Amino acid sequence: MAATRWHVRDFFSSLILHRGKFDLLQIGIINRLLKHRAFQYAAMMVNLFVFWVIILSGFFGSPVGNRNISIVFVWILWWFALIVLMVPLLSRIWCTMCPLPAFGEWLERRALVKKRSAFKYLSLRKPWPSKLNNIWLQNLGFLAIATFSALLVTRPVVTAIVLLILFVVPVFLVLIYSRRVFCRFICPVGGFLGLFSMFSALELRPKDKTLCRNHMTKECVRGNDNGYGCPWIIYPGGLERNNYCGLCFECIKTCPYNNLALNLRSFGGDILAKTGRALDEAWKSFIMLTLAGLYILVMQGPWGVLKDWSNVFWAPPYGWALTGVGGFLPYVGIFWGLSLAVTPSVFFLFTGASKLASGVRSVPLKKLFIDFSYELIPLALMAWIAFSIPLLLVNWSYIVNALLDPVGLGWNVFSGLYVPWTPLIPAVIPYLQSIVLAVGLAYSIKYSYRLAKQNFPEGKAALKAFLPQVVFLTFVSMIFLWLFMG
Amino acid sequence: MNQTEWAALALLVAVLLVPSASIYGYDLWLDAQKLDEEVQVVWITGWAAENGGWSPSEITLRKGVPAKLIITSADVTHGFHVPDLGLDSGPIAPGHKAVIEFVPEETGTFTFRCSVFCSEGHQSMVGKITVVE
Amino acid sequence: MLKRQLLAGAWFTLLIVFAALFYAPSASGGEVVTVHITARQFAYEPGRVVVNQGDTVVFVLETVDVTHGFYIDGYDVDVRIIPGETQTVTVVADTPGKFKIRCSETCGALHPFMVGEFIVLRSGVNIAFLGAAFGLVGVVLAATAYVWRRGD
Repeated sequence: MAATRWHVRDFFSSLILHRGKFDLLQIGIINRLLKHRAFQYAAMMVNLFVFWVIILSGFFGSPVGNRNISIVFVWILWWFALIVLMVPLLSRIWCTMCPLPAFGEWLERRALVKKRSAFKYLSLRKPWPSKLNNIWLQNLGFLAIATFSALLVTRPVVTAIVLLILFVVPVFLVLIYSRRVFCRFICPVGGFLGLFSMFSALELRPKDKTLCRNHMTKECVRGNDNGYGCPWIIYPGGLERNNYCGLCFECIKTCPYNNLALNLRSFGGDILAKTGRALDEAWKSFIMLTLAGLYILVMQGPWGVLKDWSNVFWAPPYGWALTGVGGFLPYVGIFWGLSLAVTPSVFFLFTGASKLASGVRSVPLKKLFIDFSYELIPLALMAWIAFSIPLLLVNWSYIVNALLDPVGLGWNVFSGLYVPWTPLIPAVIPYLQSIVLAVGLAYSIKYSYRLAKQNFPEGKAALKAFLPQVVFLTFVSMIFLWLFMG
Repeated sequence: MNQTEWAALALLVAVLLVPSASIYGYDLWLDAQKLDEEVQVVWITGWAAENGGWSPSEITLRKGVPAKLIITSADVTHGFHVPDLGLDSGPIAPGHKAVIEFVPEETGTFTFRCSVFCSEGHQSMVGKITVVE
Repeated sequence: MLKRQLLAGAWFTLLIVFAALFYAPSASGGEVVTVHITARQFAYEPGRVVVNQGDTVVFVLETVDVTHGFYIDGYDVDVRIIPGETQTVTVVADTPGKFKIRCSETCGALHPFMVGEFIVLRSGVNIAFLGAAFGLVGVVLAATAYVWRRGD
């Protein structure tokens, strides 16, 4: 009992008071669970079951979105759990249990649970093209899917088809390239999970990097009898950021020195990590920030024209004149133009102002642009959380009904029990959203200054460079605030 | 393959098979009900006229055999109304269903229509029930 | 030192003004306002309804296509708009702020996104938004001052 209380205190002090880190692997049951070979299999299996039901229901169930488990579970329950709970608190824990790459992985390993000792991957093992060794494919893939989101999140059959494709594609990629190239370079969800997990309160890290450097056999990369070499194609011994670690926990099984820790830490720890910063990740920030605003505007705003446009080629009899194809194309233009060009341009201007204000000429503008873009992560994440709050509070009754009647065909599992649509504290939602936004803004400001200090360690230059960034962050936040309350 | 792997494989097969089988089984059960000699069961799905109208829009029933009509709605609120037989389901919200049970007493053709103003094409959302010997 | 005290003083004054605005009786309002709203898939026209606190708002509701619902967050209003009929509902706008109008009758694919906005002003301004904006600026100032003083 005393030991437990000690853990709880450490937990809170590391999470909230930012005092040091707390290694969850110290807790016996977590350690044993994560080192057990059947752990990931079991987690994937639960979700495989749910996803399979979702796909079947999408094809054979009710075409009414809010009566079909495929829409209700994926776009209300899963989305909320992912963005509000899993990403901020537990990093890429979704990737631990995501069933999408499971078939490919099992096929390649020719095993579901065990690690074979005489082992050869069932794959051509071609090297992944070096030009694609970044998240640009994920950036564009996410944007492409987001463009069709009005279709995706309202038609069960579309969700089912997309999920089916996402089950099939990884199998082929595994057979050609081996391991988790799908998750790292293609998966549209993986891109933003990586970016936002930088803010997360959980990290997997080597305890002693010198030990890893001097360890000649590098079993975390090559694998051994206890587990596979890192499926995410990274070197766990050198981890400094969460981005591309999918928390599969193979390395904690393979490391002969138990040199890995699963730390609770303060929010946003990776934003200051200097390795791996690049333009693809900067653009991911711009895309996520812009799309959060556009989603709130289109889906939760009162402008019918935007809804007509978003509804892909659907021409409402009483809608605005420019609908169907004529409306969808400008809509695509707005989505892509704003997130790929306008937001980055405005941010570029403010970064230029930062450089001018600092009075330091030696720091390249491009480096400044990339580095400062990481300050957007807390604000963008919180904007997405704010977007997700009403999804659950307004539509929670759909979840209960979907459980009672999974395919919406009137199964009436519990003798016709039905929960009428009843939004929960709807009048309070704008205030909750504003508070969440303010938290994101405060974190963004904090990291903005620390990023400035990295580039301008001398004198007051950092402070001067930081002020234009504060103006930009405040400006963006005011737009969101207007969407929530104005 | 050792025991663990076999067990894991069995679980995988079960996870994929159980939901598929239950949906297929439900379908078979529905079909079996339709073939019941004692009761004639007919499923009818309401779509707005622009989306195809009633499905099916033509139903054949046998005279004197109890009929059970199960009506669902797939897009907006509809209602199932057969004026000449005095049948009316009232409004049926999307994803919900209404059940009407009656015994066709005389042969002939009876028009059914939507009783809730469901769209522009509401008036053309019609179908017919043919009662035969 | 003096500068900081001045800044704090200015901020405090703003807060007082805001609080006074919030708690003082509204300068306008108390009228009967009739608002005609046409519902269609998947929007209300007009989408934004702006009234003053204290107004009695008579919503006259019609639909041009299918059956829609009319629900206002926090205002205990939930009615059905049936095609061919005119539905009337009266609301006393007693709480300032922005409240979403939501469709409560499944009306097609984008039904969950069918929203409007009911904005209740106080003394001619959207006091809730103004207050939140003040608060947000306060957060900006506090966070900026904090990181500035703590250095790295």
